[in-house]
Amino acid sequence: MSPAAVVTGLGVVAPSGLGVGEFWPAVRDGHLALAPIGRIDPNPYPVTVAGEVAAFAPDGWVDPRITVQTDRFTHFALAAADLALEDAALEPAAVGPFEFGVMTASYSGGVEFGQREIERLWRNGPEHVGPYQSIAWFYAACSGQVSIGNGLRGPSGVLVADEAGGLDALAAAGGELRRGARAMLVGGAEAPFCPYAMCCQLGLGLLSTSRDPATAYQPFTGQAGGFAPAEGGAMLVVEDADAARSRGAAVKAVVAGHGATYTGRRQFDQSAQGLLRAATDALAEAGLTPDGVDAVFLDAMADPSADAAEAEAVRLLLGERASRVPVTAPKAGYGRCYAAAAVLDVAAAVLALEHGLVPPTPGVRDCLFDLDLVTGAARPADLRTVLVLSRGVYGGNSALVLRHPESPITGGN
Amino acid sequence: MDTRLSPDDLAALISRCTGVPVTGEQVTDPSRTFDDLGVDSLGVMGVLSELQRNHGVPKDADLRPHQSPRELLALLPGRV
Repeated sequence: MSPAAVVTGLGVVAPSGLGVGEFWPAVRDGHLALAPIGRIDPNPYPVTVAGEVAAFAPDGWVDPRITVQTDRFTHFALAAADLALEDAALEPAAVGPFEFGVMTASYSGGVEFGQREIERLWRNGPEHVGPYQSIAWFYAACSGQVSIGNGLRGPSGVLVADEAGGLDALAAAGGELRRGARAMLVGGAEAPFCPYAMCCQLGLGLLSTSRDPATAYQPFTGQAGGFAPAEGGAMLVVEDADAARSRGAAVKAVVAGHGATYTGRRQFDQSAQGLLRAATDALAEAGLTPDGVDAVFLDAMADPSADAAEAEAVRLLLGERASRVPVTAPKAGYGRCYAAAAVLDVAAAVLALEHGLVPPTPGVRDCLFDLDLVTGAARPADLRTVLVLSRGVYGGNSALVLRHPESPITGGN
Repeated sequence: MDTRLSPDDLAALISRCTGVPVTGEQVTDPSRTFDDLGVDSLGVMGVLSELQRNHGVPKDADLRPHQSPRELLALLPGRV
């Protein structure tokens, strides 16, 4: 049996659009989806620009019985899972229930629901806390509800592994496919816009306090002053290559390799080595060398020392090619949604492979570093291998290698 | 505190707490259980808690999914 995990479906719920039909044109054209926060009103906090999925309401996406039991982050995950299954043309019942699992990454959990119930606890007393608080706030709520809602009883879990957990979830799903699962729904979702969650984020000291959506999130520039937070998420259908082939599925990309390291909280200068090692490990697992990398999707923290470290990692990895391999950070256009940020990057990277285009870094003009950062318009490129980098604010560094389905299948061991 | 609930009021309360659309007619049908309506044990617990908090149902009242909303209606004060 071939060891390869292949992506056959993408489901995206992003500030830039619902579904790949909206998401890809917005990302390709560098559309700016950042705006003043509307969900916290009035907003007493210094962070005012964010990426919100303002058009999304659970009606029509989520069973009303489930809506009252779940937080907004789970509504996103359920909608994204439906979109991914539709994109993959995969009916869950066509896969044995014990061979189809769910793997998500979570950073915030169900914070908005949780805040509402905790307010009831302290304002009115314990008997005023609803029974669904027990399941709605929980990090595993998305994996659980996607599993229940689609009748998936295969190996499932949740990774609470910092922001880079979004890439680690893809690797964990690949592991389940190697152990006998045929299909996995993989991804993550975040809905971190309530006062409690906003206070948690402010403590990071990494969020942009710019009031101008056009300039709030400018990674790799002299104006880099933090990132704009975002809500949303993505789910991917990832299948065993043989299982995908036997049902005649259209393969969008091969998940060829993964690496993860940890370099400590708030030590971004250390993350250069951490990212380098993660990328090298991911390429080795894919059976490739850095020479094979055609484009890099960057983590793009928009913190001066973090940006410098990431640029250094790319330079160390690619050597003299670093100044001519296209690199990009589409999230500058819609914000950074924590554990779902890297999953959205994977979705964008899969679409880039599919369309032969490297999307731009919206709103960024003058890159401070000797990198070929794509700005302005998307750049046509013969993409065979794309590297996705992700870092967590607490020190996780991960890398994922995606390959065009017509590339020779290697790695995944 | 409003303790007087009509069957339609109770149906609306169940819908709000559980997300399950319920009619006043279903609430008065003694043969229809919460299970039949698609309300699970956590849903029943949420409905009962709401009635205990705001509608005068005794704290020691108990209710399970195999029971009917009609039985719940009987727990409300001022009703038989």
